[in-house]
Amino acid sequence: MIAKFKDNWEAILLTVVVVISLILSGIVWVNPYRSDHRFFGDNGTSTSRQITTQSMRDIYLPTQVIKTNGDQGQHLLYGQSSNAVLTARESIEKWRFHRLTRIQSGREKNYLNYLRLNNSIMLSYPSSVPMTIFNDSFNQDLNVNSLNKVDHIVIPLDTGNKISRIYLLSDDNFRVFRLKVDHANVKAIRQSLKGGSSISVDHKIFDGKPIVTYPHGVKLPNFGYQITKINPDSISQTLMNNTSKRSTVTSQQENGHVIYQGGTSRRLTYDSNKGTLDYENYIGQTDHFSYQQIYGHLYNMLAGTGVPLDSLRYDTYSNKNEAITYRSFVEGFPIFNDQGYGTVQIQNNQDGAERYHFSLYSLQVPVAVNNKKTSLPSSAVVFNGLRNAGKLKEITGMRIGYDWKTNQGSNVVTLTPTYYLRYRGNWENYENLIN
Amino acid sequence: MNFKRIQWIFIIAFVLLDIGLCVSLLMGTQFHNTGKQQSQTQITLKEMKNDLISVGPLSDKRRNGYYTAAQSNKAWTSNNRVNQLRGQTARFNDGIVNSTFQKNIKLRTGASQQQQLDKVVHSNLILHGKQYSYNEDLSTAKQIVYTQTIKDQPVLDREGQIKFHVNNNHEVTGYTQGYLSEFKILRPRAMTISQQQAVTWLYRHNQINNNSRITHVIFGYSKIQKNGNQVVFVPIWTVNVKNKAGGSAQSLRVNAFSGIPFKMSINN
Repeated sequence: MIAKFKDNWEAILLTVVVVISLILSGIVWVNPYRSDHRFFGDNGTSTSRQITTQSMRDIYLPTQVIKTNGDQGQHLLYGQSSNAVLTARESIEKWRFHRLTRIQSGREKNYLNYLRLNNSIMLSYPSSVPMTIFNDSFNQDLNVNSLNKVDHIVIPLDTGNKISRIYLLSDDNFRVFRLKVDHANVKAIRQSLKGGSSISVDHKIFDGKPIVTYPHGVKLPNFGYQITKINPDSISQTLMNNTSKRSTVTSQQENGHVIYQGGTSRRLTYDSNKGTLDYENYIGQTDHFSYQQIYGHLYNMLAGTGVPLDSLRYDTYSNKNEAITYRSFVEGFPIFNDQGYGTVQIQNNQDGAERYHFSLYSLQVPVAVNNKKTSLPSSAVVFNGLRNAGKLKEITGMRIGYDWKTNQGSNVVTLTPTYYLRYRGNWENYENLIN
Repeated sequence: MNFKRIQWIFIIAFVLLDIGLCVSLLMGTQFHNTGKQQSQTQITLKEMKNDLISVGPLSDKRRNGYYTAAQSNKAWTSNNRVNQLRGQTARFNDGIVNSTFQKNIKLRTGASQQQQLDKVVHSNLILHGKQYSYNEDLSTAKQIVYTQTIKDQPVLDREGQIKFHVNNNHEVTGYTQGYLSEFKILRPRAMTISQQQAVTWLYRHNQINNNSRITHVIFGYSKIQKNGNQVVFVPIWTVNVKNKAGGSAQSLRVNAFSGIPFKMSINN
């Protein structure tokens, strides 16, 4: 046997190197994403890079911070001047995790126990993000095949300033993954939770998904902003000149609409009454992106619009339309406006055209407002109101957000908190729903 | 050629191929990501060099910034009050104290300006003096500047500064003072653009002339909005540019949150 092996060792060696090269070629072949990061980083379009203040890893950050005490009592934190989310990122990006281990899936009750993990801090995304996005924001390299998307990051704080594990949670099938880490320092995270304000919250499974509920009435402050307006002409220039194919932009007016046409394929429609903008770019062939890739692609399109990104964050992804809604947030709370001000929708080219929907108005510069607080009822009262109005069955989500009331005359706006319900797929103001 | 030799050639060829594939995989995941952005800034810095714009090393670190409100009250003190200040003749007008020392303060060479003036500023010779700190970047041979601070960063508007006048004999003859009160952080910490970004973005907006020298790039706060006495401060980068041919200097300002440049004269 050994003699035979000795005689043929060159042939065996050759076989081994051939097999290795086949395996490596296979990896390069099926995983082009790994060796091609063209959808990543701060770069906008490749030919003329847009100047953006918020890189991809900022836009796709968690927005909500919930602290759980020893008795599973939960508090949503806001107004901590050191910014708990940024502080957590600055800590986590230095940690080196061992591997992802699935510790449970499919069981609602166990999942709720992890959402309410004693003595922990939880950072939550407004809706799931692909693992590649988590990796990018937190400077990690976790396997996207073990866990493809993330909703919550749970950091236990029960063992002093050094911790040895964190959890990643995916609402999809109630999956909980554990990440081991060596002596990760959580001192800065602990510090960042001090000061500011908090409101009492809880978690509940609603319509097959966990939601944050407010067991007691809450009082929240109003926030003031100066409204920033962008110029539709400069937006049209930015949108239509961002490729190597420069084209002259023509514009024509038509009962309250200005239509900018760039070449034959690009069209921007500005509604001068509402202040909204719709952009379409007909490409012809369709672009296909995997779930892991499309967030980067859509961010690059967002960065190419020239819209101020200061207070924008990722809000929701629609799998059907391959579209992301980016929304303005104030201290972790989403901002809603009935004309869609402060949100940008970017739709991937899946039927031959890319489509953007946004507006001229955004919120950047805060102004001080009086210290008045607005009182909101508990979520039980809200659900009762909806039941009485006969609308509870079509509700699929609930959250507290801030209402930006459109007032054309003023360039300062006071945002007031209220409940928003996901009704027939859209976020609607509670007051509007029950009246 | 015998079979053995061919076999060896194949083995070597495949080993080389394996090494090549490994390298490309590792390089792709590790270095590609950050490399691209670095080079973009490097390209712009190179372009600036070609346009004869000189600049010292710039940091690519983003800073912490806070939107902050303050009161800019034109009546923060009164003539009555400033008349009582010892050792000086002071007048209060339009929110600014204008004062001349009765006896000039001689600045000794050797000892630091800051140490000598700190004693004056932090004494009761100056109203609210303890709230101001020395700023080396803003000070020149003719003028020594103290500023109020927001989270340890200087206020770059005269409403929050004390400017000491220095004569040719290195004597401080007097000062002008503005004052802001009731600083209040409006929003939690956010990240600003870096020093490098501020300069390269100004350049790409064609704000920096050819054949000039960038002398200072200073981080601080400047008012962006005013509503009655209420002002809102935003972090900014101030880029001081000097023409190499003539002596003319200008101060370019960039909003460090939005990256949008705006122009202002150096003697604001």
